Amino acid sequence: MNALRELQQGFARSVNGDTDEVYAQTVCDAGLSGARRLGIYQHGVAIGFRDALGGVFEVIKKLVGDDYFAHVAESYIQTHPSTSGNVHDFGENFPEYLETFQGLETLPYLPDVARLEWAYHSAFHSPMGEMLNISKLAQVPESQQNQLTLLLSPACYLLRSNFPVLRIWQVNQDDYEGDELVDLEEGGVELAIVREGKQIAFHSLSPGAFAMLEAISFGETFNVSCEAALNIDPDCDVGEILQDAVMNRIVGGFSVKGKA
Amino acid sequence: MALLGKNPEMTIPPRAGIGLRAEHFDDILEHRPDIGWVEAHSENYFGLGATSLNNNGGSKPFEYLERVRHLYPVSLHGVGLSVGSTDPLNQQHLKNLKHLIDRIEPGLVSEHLSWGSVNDRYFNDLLPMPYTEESLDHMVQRINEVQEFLGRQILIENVSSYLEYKVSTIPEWEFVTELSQRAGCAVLLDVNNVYVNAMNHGFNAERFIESIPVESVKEIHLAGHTVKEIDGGVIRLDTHDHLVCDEVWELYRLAVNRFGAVPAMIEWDKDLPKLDVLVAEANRADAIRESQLPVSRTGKLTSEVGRERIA
Repeated sequence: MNALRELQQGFARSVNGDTDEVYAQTVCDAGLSGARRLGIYQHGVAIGFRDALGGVFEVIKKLVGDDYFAHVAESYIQTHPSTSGNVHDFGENFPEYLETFQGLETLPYLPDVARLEWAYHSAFHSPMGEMLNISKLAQVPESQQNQLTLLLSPACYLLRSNFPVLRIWQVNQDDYEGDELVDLEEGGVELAIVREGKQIAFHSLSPGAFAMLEAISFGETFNVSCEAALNIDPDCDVGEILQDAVMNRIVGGFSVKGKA
Repeated sequence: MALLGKNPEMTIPPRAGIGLRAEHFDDILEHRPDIGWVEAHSENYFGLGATSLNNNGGSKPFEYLERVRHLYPVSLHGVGLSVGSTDPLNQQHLKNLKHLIDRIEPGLVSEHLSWGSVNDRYFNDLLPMPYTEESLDHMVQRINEVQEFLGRQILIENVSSYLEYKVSTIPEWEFVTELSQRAGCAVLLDVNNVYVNAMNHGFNAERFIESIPVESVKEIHLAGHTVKEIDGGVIRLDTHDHLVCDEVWELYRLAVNRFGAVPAMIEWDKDLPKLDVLVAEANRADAIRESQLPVSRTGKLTSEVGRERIA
C-alpha cells in the first residue's frame, strides 16, 4: 500500500502544478517526456473543473468574460480543491471567493449573483419535497405550539442582496428579450429560490416574510419566527405569510419537539 | 408529479444503447428512439434527499431518469467512486449510489479501473493505476468492499491512459483478467480505450481483446476520441466528442466474434450532437453485431428461437 499511496500522492502534486522532476522520472517517457504526460492530466483536470464551474456560474462567466472567468476559476481550483466524487458538489464557496478576489472590486454585485446561481443549481439537484399538510399542522395541540418548528422544503434557498441580482440574472439569460439595462440603484431583493416541477421559481418576499423564513431556516420555533417577522414589520400578517410559503413550497414540513 | 408504478423488469438486452445526457431528456421521452437501453452517469442523479422530508422525491434529473426508466432498461455507470484510491472508500458516496440503485433497479452497475482522489482531495477524473501486484491486491479488496456494500456484482471498465508507470510489471490485459477473476467482478470492455492505449503505449489491441476471458465481459463501450500532436509526438485523448473511428469499429467486430451478443453502448460527452447521431451510431453497432452473429432484434439467438418454435 505504501508504494501505491506514494505514487498517488506524487501524481496529485503534479496535477496541482507543483513541478516534481523526481516524480516525472517514475513515468515512462517513450516519445513524450514523463513531465509532458503528467501535464496532459494536469490540463485535463483543470479544464474539467473550469467547465464544471462555468456550467453552474454561467451569468458570472458572461459578466466577466470567458478569459477572465478562466483566470478566476484557475485560482479558485487551486485554493478550494474538490472534496467530493460528485462534481456537482464543486463550487459551493465560489461566491465567497469572488468577494475577496483582487480585480473584481468594481463589480460588488458579483458574489450575490453567484449565490443566486448556486441556489439555482442546488435547487435543480434537490428533491422537491411534498406540500405541507395544513390539516395535520392544525392538529398540533395548543399546549405544544410553543415547541412547533417549521421546516423549509429541501429544494428551497433564501437569498438577500442589496443589489437587484434577480434582474441581473434575468437579463443575462439566453432567451431574454427586453430592456437589458439594469439600474444598480433600483434596490435589493429578498428571494426564495424553489424548485417547482421542471422549473426553478423565484419568489420575491416582503421584509417580514423574509425575516420569518430566515428564522425558520435557522431552526427557530414557529413562535420565535413569527416574532422575527413582527419585529421587522409590526403590521405584517404572519398567517398570510405562512399560507403563501406553503402554497409556494417554501415551507414543506414541521416538527414538534424535534419529531417530524 | 405523476406517480409511476413499480419499475418494469430490468435486463440489459444484448443490443446497442446510448449514454443518457441531460440535453436529450425531452427528445428521448418525446421520440422514444429505437435503442436497446440507456446508460446514466450515477453521480448526476445523486440528488435524492435521503434525509429530506420526502424519501420518494428526487432531483430534477432524477425525475427524468425515473421516466426514462419506464421506457428503457437502464444501467448505472459511476465516474466518481475512486475505487483505486488509497484513501478509505467514501462511505457517503457509496450510500448515495446504493440509494440510487434501490430506487432505479438498474440492469448493470459499473465503475472504473482507476483512481481519482488522495488525501480527501478529488480530481474528478479517471487517473491510471500502476499495474503491480500491490495495486492488484488493493483493487481486489476495494471491489470486494463495494460489491459487498451494494449487495451485487459490479462491472469494471478499462480506462484510457496517457502514461505508463515504470513500476508496472503486469500487462494491462492481464491485470484486467486477474482482477475480474479474483474480485468476482465482470468486465466492461471499452473498445475505444483499448485502441487509444494500444496506440499511446505501443501494444497490439487485438491481443488485448483476445486475452480477456469470454465469460467475463458483460458490456462493451464504444466512443470517439481525439488525435493530438504534442512536442512532435502524437497522443490519442479519450474525449468522447467524435464519431467512433473505423479502427475501433473493426475492433468491435473482433470483440463481437469473441464475446458474442453483449450489450454495447455509444458514449458521447462533449460537443454533444443531436440525438439522431447517437441513435445512428447505436444502429451501426447493432448492424455489425447482427452481421457477425445470428441474433434477432430481441437479442435471442435465432437458434434458440427456432428451438422454442419446435418445442
